[in-house]
Amino acid sequence: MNETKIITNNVNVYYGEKQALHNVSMNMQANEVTALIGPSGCGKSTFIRCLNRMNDVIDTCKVEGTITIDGYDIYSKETSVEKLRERVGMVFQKPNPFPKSIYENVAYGPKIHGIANNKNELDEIVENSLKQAAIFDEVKDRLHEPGTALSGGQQQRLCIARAISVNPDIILMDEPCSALDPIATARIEELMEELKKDYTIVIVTHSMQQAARVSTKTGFFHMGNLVEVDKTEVIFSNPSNKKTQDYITGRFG
Amino acid sequence: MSFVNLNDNNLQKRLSREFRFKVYCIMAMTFALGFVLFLFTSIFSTGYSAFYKTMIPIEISLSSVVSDSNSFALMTNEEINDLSIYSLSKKNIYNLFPNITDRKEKKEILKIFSYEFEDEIKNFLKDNKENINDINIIYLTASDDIDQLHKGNFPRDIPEKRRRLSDLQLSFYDELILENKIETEFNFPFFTRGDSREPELAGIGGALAGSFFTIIVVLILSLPFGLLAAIYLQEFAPQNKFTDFIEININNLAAVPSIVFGLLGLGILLNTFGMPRSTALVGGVTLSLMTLPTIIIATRAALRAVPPSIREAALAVGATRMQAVMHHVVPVAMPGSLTGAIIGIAQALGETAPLLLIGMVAFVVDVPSTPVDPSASLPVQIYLWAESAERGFVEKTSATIMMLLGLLIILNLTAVIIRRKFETKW
Amino acid sequence: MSEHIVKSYDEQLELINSNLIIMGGLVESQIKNSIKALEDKDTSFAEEIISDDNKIDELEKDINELAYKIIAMRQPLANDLRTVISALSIANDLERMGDHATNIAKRVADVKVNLPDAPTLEIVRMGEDAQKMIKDVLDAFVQRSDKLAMNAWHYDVNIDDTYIGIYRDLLKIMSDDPDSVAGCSHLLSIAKNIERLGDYAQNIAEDIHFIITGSALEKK
Repeated sequence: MNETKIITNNVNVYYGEKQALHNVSMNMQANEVTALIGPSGCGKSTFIRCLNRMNDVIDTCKVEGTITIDGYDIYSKETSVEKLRERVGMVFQKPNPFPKSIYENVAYGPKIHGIANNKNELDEIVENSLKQAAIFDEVKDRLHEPGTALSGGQQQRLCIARAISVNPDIILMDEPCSALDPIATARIEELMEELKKDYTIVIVTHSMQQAARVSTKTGFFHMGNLVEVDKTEVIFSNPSNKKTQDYITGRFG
Repeated sequence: MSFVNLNDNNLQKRLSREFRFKVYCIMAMTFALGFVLFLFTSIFSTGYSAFYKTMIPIEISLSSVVSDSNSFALMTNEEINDLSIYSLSKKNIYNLFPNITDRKEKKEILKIFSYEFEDEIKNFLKDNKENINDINIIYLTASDDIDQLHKGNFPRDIPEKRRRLSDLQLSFYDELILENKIETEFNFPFFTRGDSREPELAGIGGALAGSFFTIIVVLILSLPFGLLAAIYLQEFAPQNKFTDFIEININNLAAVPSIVFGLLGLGILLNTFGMPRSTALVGGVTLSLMTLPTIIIATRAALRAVPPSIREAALAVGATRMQAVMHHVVPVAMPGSLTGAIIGIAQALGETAPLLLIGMVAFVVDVPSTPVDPSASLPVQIYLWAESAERGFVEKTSATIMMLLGLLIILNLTAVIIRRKFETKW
Repeated sequence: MSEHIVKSYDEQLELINSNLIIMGGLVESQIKNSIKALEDKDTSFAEEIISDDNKIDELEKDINELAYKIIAMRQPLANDLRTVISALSIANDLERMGDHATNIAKRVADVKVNLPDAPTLEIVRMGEDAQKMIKDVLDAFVQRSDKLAMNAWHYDVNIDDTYIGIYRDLLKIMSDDPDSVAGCSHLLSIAKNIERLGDYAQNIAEDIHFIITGSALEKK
C-alpha cells in the first residue's frame, strides 16, 4: 500500500439547512486511483469538491470536520485556496476548455501562477502537459486553433493537460467520461493508468465498470453517507454491505 | 394500420386548424410590415426633397465696391465682412428683371431670395478671393416659398390671397424658368448649419452635434458604471435580501417612464447643482440615468449566459475569482453586453421627453462646439420643426427623421455585427 | 433477495436457476435409475437410461448459452456474477454426473456374467448414500443454504471410505476366485463411478458456498 495522501475525518457538509454529507472519513493513497460511486445526489461530487475547496464558491455551503493533504489541514485559516487548487487539479464532467486556443488553455495556469520564466519555458510546459495528457500528437500542428473546436474526448484530454500544467500532486475527476463515447472513454482510462504513476487520482463516476477498471480502491456513497470503502475487486465481487451489493448489481429501489 | 386515411375527420380538423393558424400569422405579419412600409414611404416621400435646395444665379458686378477685382485676393475675411455691399447686391438682383421699376414691385423681387443674400455673396467672395472677375455669376439661395413652389409643394391654382406667393412673384418664377435660371443642388448646408427661422436656411448641424455630444457623455458615464455594476452584481455580490432589493430596483428603473428622468435632471442637475441649462452635458447625464439600467440588465444577462463551467475551469487551476471573471467570463460576455449597450444608446439617441424638461428644446442657431454649449438634439429638432407652420419645415422634419432612423439602423447593425463577429462559438 | 430494477435481468437469472434445478432433478433420477438397474440387474432398463443422457446434455448447453448471454448483456457483478459463473461450473459438474450415471447403466447393460451378490448390495448401498448427498446438495442450491451445502460437502468422506472398503473386498474376492474377475472388474468400475459422483456433488457444494458467502471454500 502506498503512503496515505488525503485523509478526511468526520466531514459534514451543509448546503444551508440541508446536510449533504454525514461524517465521511476516508483515506486516499498516493499514486493510486480512488473511485467514488453512488446514485445521483449521494454526495460523491460534493465530497470530491471539498478536496480542492470548489464548494467555497457556493455561499451557503458549510464544511465541518478535517481534510488533510500530506498532513496539512486544507480548511485551516492559513490555507490559500489558489495555492491549494494549484496542487489539487480538477477535471469536470463536461469538457470545459476556455474558448481560447489550445495553447492558451494549457498556458493559462502556469501564467497566472508565474511558473514559467520566459516564453520558451512556457512552450515547454505546454508541450509536456499535452504529451502527458496523450493529446500532443493530435494537436501539435494546430496549437493556436480554438480548444473548443476539438472533439469531446480531445477536449477532455485538453482539460486534463490544463490540470497538470501547474504540476499538481492530486487530480480530481468529476465524472470525466460521462459525456464521452466508449472509445474516448477508453483513451481517458488508459491515460489515468499512466497518470497515476505521477499523481494521486480521485474519480467520481457513474459507470461501475469504469470504477472497476481504473481504480485501486472504491468508495460507495449513499444519501450523504460513505457506506463502504474497500479494495475495488472486493467491492465489485463481494461487498460486505447489502446496500453496496444492491447498488452495484442494479437492485437499488 | 393505414397511413392514408383521407376520411379521418379528426385529422382533417387538426390540419385545417393548422392551416388557419398559419393564415392568421401571415396576415399579422403583413399588417405589421404594411405599417412599417407606410411609415417609411410617407417619411421618405415628404423628406427626400429637403436634401436639395433651389438656387437662382445672378450676375454681380463689383466695380462700385473696389476698383480692381484682383484686390480681393489681398483682403482678409474680416475685411470682406466689413464691406458694405447690401445696396450693390440689391441693385444687381433688380437687374434680373430690368423691366420692373416700381419700388414695391422691386421689393417683391428681393422676396424670391433668401434674406441672407448679402452674406451669401460675401461667402462667395471669401471662398473665391483669387478668381474674382468684374462680373461674377453667383448662385443665391431661393426663398422658402420659391423653393417649395419649385419642388411642387405649393399649388398655384388657388386665389392669390390664400397663397404665400403673389401673382407677380409667380410671374418672376415663370420667367426665370423660361430663362433656365432656376437650378437645384445638393443641400449641403442642411447638414452643417444650425437652426433658423427661415426654412431654406435651417440645418440639422446643431442637432447632430448636440446628439453627438450627448451620446459621448452617455457613453462615458453609463458604459463603465454599467459594466462594473453588472459585473459586481452578477459575479461577486452575495445573494441576500439587500442585493435582491438592488436587483429589483434596477429592473424597476428600466421601466420608469423617461420623462421622470427629465424631471430628475431638471430638479437635481439644473436646480440643485446649477449645471448649465440646454446643454448636451446635462442631457447626457440625464440620459445616462436612463441607459444605465438597460446596460446593467443586458450585461448581467450576458454574464449569466456564460456557462458556469468556464468559471469552474479557471478557479480549478487556481485563478482568483477576479482572474476567472476578467480573463474568461467577461470576454465571453462582452459581445452580448456591448449589444445591450448599443441598444441602450440607440434608445438614448431617440429620446425626447427628458431633453424637453432640461431645456434642450431651446431655439439654438449656433452649432455647439462643446458639451456645455446650448444645443438641440435630433429628436428635439424633429419636435421643434414639427410644430413650425412654414411648409419648408415639413420636409425638413421628415428629413431629420430619416437621419435619425438612419443613425439608429447603423447602431443596431453595429450591434448585430459585433454579436455575429465576436460571439464565442462553442 | 430484492429485485433488479431491470425485470428481464431477473427473469434471465431465474431461468438459469430453474434450468439448473431441472437438470439436477434429471441427474438425480438418472442416478437413481442406474442404481435400480444395478440392483435388479435389469439390462433393458439400463439401455433406456443411456438414451436419457441426451436431455441432460441439452440442458447444459442451454445453461451455458444463457450464462454467456447474461455476462455479455448485463455485466453481472458481486452475487449475480458469482451466480452466473457458478451456474456454468455447476452445469458442467451435473453433466459429468449424468455421464457417470450413464456409465453405470452402460456397465449394467454390458454385463454378460453373474455379478457377485454381496459386493453388489454393498455398491447399491453406496449408490444410495451418494444419492442422498446429491439430493442434499440440490436442496442446498434451491434453498441457497450454506449449512446444507456444507453438510453434504463433509458427507463425501463417508462415500470415499465406503469405496475404499468395497475396493478391498473386491480385490479379495478376485484373488480368491479368478473366475469372478470379469464380474468384479465391472463392479469396481461402477463403484469408481459412484465415488466420482460424490466428488462432483462436493464440487457443487463448494460452488454453492461461493455463491452464498462470496469466498472460495478453503480445502482442508
